[in-house]
Order: sequence, then C-alpha cells, then structure tokens
Amino acid sequence: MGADRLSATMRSLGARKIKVLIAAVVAIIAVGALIWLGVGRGTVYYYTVSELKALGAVENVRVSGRFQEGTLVRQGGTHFSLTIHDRDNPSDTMAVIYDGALPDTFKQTAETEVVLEGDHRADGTFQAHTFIAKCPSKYEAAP
Amino acid sequence: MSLIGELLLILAAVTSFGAVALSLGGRLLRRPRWSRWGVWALSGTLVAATGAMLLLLTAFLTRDFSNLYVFEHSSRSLSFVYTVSAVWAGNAGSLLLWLLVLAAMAVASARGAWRRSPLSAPYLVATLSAMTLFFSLLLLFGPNCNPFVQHPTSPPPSDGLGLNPMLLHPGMVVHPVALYLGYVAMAMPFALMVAGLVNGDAVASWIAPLRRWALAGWLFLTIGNVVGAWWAYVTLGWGGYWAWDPVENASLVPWLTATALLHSVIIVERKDRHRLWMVSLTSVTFLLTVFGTFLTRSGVVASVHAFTASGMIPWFASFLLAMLVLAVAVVGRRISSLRRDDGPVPLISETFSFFCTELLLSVITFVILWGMVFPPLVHAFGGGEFGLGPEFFNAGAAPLGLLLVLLTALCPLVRDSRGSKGRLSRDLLVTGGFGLLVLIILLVLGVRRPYPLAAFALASMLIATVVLTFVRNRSVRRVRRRYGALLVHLGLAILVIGIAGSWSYKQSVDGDLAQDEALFLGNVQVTYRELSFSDELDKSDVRARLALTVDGRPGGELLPSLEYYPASDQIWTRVARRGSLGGDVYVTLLAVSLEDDVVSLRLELHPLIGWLWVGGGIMALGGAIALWPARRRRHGAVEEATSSGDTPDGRPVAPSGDPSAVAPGGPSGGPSDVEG
Repeated sequence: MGADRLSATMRSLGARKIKVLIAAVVAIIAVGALIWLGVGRGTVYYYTVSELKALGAVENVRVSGRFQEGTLVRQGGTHFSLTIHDRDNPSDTMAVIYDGALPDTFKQTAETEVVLEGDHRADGTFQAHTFIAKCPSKYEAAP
Repeated sequence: MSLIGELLLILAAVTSFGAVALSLGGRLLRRPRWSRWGVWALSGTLVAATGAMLLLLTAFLTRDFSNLYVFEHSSRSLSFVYTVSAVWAGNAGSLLLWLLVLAAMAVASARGAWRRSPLSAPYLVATLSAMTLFFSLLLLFGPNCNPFVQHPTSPPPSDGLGLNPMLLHPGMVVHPVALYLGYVAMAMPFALMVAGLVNGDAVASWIAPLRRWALAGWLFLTIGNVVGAWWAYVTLGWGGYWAWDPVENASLVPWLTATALLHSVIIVERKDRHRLWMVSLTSVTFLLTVFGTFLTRSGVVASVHAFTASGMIPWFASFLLAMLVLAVAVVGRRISSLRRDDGPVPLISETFSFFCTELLLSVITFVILWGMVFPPLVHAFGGGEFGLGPEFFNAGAAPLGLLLVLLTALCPLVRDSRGSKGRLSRDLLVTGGFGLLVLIILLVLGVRRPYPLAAFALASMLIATVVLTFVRNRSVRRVRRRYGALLVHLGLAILVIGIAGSWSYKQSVDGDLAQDEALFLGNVQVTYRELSFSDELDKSDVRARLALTVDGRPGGELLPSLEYYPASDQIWTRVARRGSLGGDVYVTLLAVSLEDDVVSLRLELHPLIGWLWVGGGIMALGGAIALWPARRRRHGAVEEATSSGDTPDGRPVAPSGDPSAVAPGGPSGGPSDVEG
C-alpha cells in the first residue's frame, strides 16, 4: 500500500484523468475496429428460395427452403445434387449441388427444412458448402 | 400419477409464494418469526420439487408410457444411465431439474444467510423464492413445460419413442447437468448481493459466500463447456468443438463474466476497491444465465441445441426484465457507497492489472453478445435477415483472447512485485525470455502463421509465470485458493495451445475407397479393409474396418460406423478417433455403396487437440481445489477467507458458515492476504 500512496501523490489527478481518457478512447476504437472488421468478414445474408431467385447470382449467402422429395441423387462419393423449393411458393424451385457429408438430422421427406450456405451461381444452381437440416421434430416431439 | 405430479408442482408454487410473502412481510413488519416460516416454506418447495422429480424418475424407470414426456424421450431398450439422463432430454424435464437444483441451493444458501445475518436473510429468501415461484409457474402453465401430461391414447402405447440417438452419448450425462448447476449457482451470488445491498450490510459480510457460490458456478460452467466442446467434437455435424453457435456463446458469456467476477472479488477482499465492478459482474453474470436459458428454449435463434417450445418468449422476457429492474434498483440505491474508492491507482499495481483483466473479459463478453444480438435486432427493426458466422467471432476472439493470455501472464508478476519495478522487470525477463525462446524455436522449425505463433509464445510465457510464481512463493503452495488459481492459469495456457494447434492446423481430405485402397493426409495413411454389419434390437449398423499407418508404421485399426435407428428413422454417424498428445486422427464414414463395395471417408487431422481437454481438465481441477473448504489454522484463524459450512466433498451445501470465518475485507486485507 505504501507504494500505492507514494505514486498516488506523485501523479496529479488531472494528468491521470487525461491518460485514462486516452486509454479508453484507444480501447473503444480497437474494439470498434474488431467488430467492424468481423461484421465485414462474418456477415452471411439469409434468403428464401424465392428471394434468392429474384436476386440473381450472389456469393456467400444462406438459403432456406424445403427439400423436394425424391430429388436427392448421389453423384458418387459425397457429391450430391438435390432440389429445394420455397416454403411459401412451392413452385419456386432451385437446383442444389453439395459436396460433403449429409447431416444425420436430414431425412429425405417432403417437409424437411434445409438451410444451405454457399454461392448462388449465374446458371441458377446453388453450390452449397454447408448443409443444415432442420428436423421438424428437433429434440421435442410436437406438442 | 399425473395428478400427484401436478399437485406437487402446485405445492411448489404455493410454498414459493408463501416464502416470498412470509419473508418480506416478516422483515418489513418486523416479525422475525414470519421470516423464519419463510425458510420453512422454501424448504417445502424443495420437498415438493424433490417429490416431483422422484415421481418423474420412477415413471422413467418403470417405463410408464402413459406419461407423455416419458413416452417421447425413452423406450424399453434404453439402458439405466440413459433412462435417467432422459429426464433432462426435453424441455419439461430439464425445467423440473432446474427447479429442484434451484430449490436445493436456495435452501442451503438461506440457512447460511440466517446464521450470518437474520436481518438481510429474508431478502435473500424472498429473491430466491421468487425464482422458484417463476419456475414452478412455468412448469405448470408454460407451453410444453409440464412433465406430467398424460399420453392422449388409452391404453398407453407399449413402448416409447426412445431417446434421440444424438443424445446417446456420455456427454449427455454430464454436459447438461453441469451447465444447469452452473447456471443455477449463479443465482446465489445475485441473491446474496440483493439481500446485502437492500439491508445495507457491509460488503465484507457477504463476500465470502458470494465468492464460493460464484466459484462453484464457474467450476460447473467450466466442466459443462469443456464436456460440451468434447461432445460436439466427436459428433458429426455439430461443427467441431466450438462453432460459435448462439447457444454455445450463451454458455460462454456467463463463464467469462464469472471469471471477471472472481477476480473483482479478490480486489474487494484485498484492497477494498472494485465493489461496483463486483456487484455489476454479479448481476450481469446472473442475467446472462437467464438470457442463455431464454435463448436455448425460446427458439429465437437457430441452433443445434434448439428445443422447440414456442411461447416461452413472454415468460423469459418478463423474468429477465424483472431481474434486470431488481438489479438496477438495488445497485442504484447504494451506488454512492459502492463507488467510493480512495485515491488513484498506480499503473503497476495489483488493482490496476486486475482492473485490466476484468475490463478485457467484459469487452470479450460484449463482442460475443454483439455478434449474437445484433443480427436479430437489425432484422426486428426492419433490416434484412443475416447472421454473423464464425469469422466474426474469430476476428474478435483471437486477438482479444491472446491479450487475455498476456494479461494472465503479467498479473501474478505484478502482484508479486508489490510495486517494485525492478523486481517486475527481472521477472518479465525470465517469463518473456522463455516465451521469446519458444517463438524463436518455432520460427526455426518453420512455423510462420502469426496467430498460432503468438498463441504458442504467450502460452509459454504464461506457463513460465505459473512456474515462477509457484516456485518462488512458498505460501502459494500452502494456500489452496491461490494454488487452485495458478492451476487454472496453467490449464488456460495448455487449453490455448490446444485451440491454436487444432484451429490453425486442422487438415481434412475426402475420398471414395474401394477395398485396399488408401487415403493419405500428412504423415497418416488410412486403408480400407472391409465392411461389417450388425443388427441389434434398436439399431443396425455398418462398420468399416480401416488400417491406420502413421509415419509408415502400423497404428492399429479404426472402426467408423453408420448406425440406423428404425424407431426414430434416424441415422447416426459414429466417428473413429486415434489420439495422442500430438493430435487426433479423426475418420468419418460418410457413405457406403454396397453394390461396388466402396466407402466414402473423410480423414481429418486435429493437431494438439488433446491439449484442449487436458487444459480444460486442469482448469476444472484448479477451480475445485480453490473451492475446497479451508483447513483451520492452529491459532484459530481460517486459512482462507471462506466458510466452514461445506460438505467434505467440497460442494457448497451451505457456503456461508459462521461469521468468524468471514474476511474483514479492509484495505489491509483479511486472513486471505497471504503474502503479507
């Protein structure tokens, strides 16, 4: 404590406050920059199938829709093609190409909701790198 | 059976309400006897909750499928352990477990509070009983929250739907319970704070039980998070051990603020500063646990954890709001006395270095919360729908996390230097020199990426700090509390090495293999030998036999498999792993073509991942050691500023103890001041 008191008297209160203020401003700017940087890198926009079709080609987006029953075809290994359709306008469909493992939650039934992340290409297909299946029952059976 | 269950829940609600009314009424009308009855009423809640839990457990063990919840979450083929853990597999059962744990901790806390301060205890009992009242009402009237609903058909079905195969994992036994315990324990410091501030007690009189409960909560959250990370790591499709999933974040943020809280407690005890920090962090930690629960159950966010129980939003939103108002009101009322700090703080001082730690942990919490809350907020106010992916969180967490490691490496040295710059520079030369040496060695070995380089160097510096502090201070080895804290720091260093290695150097390759073909990755080769099939009562599985070769030497077999559960029409991918301290070989069987006998495999290497589990384990061990009740010294004082009312196994059954054990937290430090 003695050392505490000593340096306390050595420092004038005004100079200290300015230092604290500078430190706070630097910290806020640094954190703000981190958030700004992160938002720039990490933002993924969410669309429905209909919205994405209207938007056209766009990279790194997330699309949600329903699996079209009977359209899943394995093109060897873990290369899949499938078709999804819009939740509200089932006539709006989109062809999907996906490389990777199908999640265990994915059931090949019509009501299965899928969420895909990837690129919507100019030819209208969706190249997915992430495949999330929303099982309608999740962990709870419907009440 | 459902009737008895409902009656017990009603009893829990009535006794909780009685406890609130009697405690507050007795305190405000100066009738201590009423307040005493309040504790009995709260004990009644505990009895009712215990009865309800036993009833539900009996229904599970006797396979009573007339209970809808039992029907939905278990089946006859389920083993004993998983039948028990099925209790918390759904929304209703986990809420009941919540109520039970809350009631038990509340009773323990209330008894300690009465021994310590009969004038403030009623406020504590009222606060905690209000919480048990909320959970009792939620269980009774919340949507899909009642575990005692009858199955609609009569006679009831002969077998249940079974536990979701994803939950058939040892992680299911530990992870949810540990997190519930951690979440609920954080309500105790909050109630202690509310009671202490409302009654105007000196902080020193309630800081010891506050610390013990916060530490207990921290320990359970640590265990819960580490086990959860391990469970997600070995489970395909959960995005690895940490995916920055909103629910994962929700259990991380109270852990961060609890860590900050525990540091602020030290400064309050030793220097009588940071009181406002301490009460703010106590409040924020508790509110974040409520927020986390809300997030998990409301379906607000899409997540692997999502329970579907819509209609919970108004319940939790109002509870969260009520608790927020309570916190702001009680802290606001005493703000002037809490803010009183004497004199400025020198830059090289324990107080300032702890201040930096608390600030940094709060900033990390803020960044993570921002990532969770910002996208839904923008959407709610008419903006587009979007999410912030792992890139956002990594961009924030990596630099701030490294800064935290650096601070952890500096703080104990600042504390030891006691203001002497010469001593601090000599110490920094040793620890910083060691970190620099590791950095140079890694550069020579060809490591070039900045983040892992910084992480390895800073973690080495932190290890050097721990070793130096431990070797030099003989007192540290005697004082369990500081010993435990140092172990936690050591665990953090090891954990960071594991994260840096596995996050930055993960490798992966996919391939389709015919018999005796091989997949290569780094120094690892995996050769496909044959498939085997088996059928059991509740599942059938396909297993691939793979021969593993590491550095050209045979490394045994790997047996990844695909399981199919007909009852729930679900496939479950069981990965195969071979681990060492250097890293894990991790193989997933993605698909099988029976016609041409070809398997699709994913081969992954996770370098240093084992360090993560070892580090997490050491952190939990350190927490447990710090929590372990203190031995009494020969001359009658207590070794640490802590309580004596604990069970021998170190769990805080009544972490309050007798008043003589409470540290006088003046500037000179209490008995906790170990280096004086």
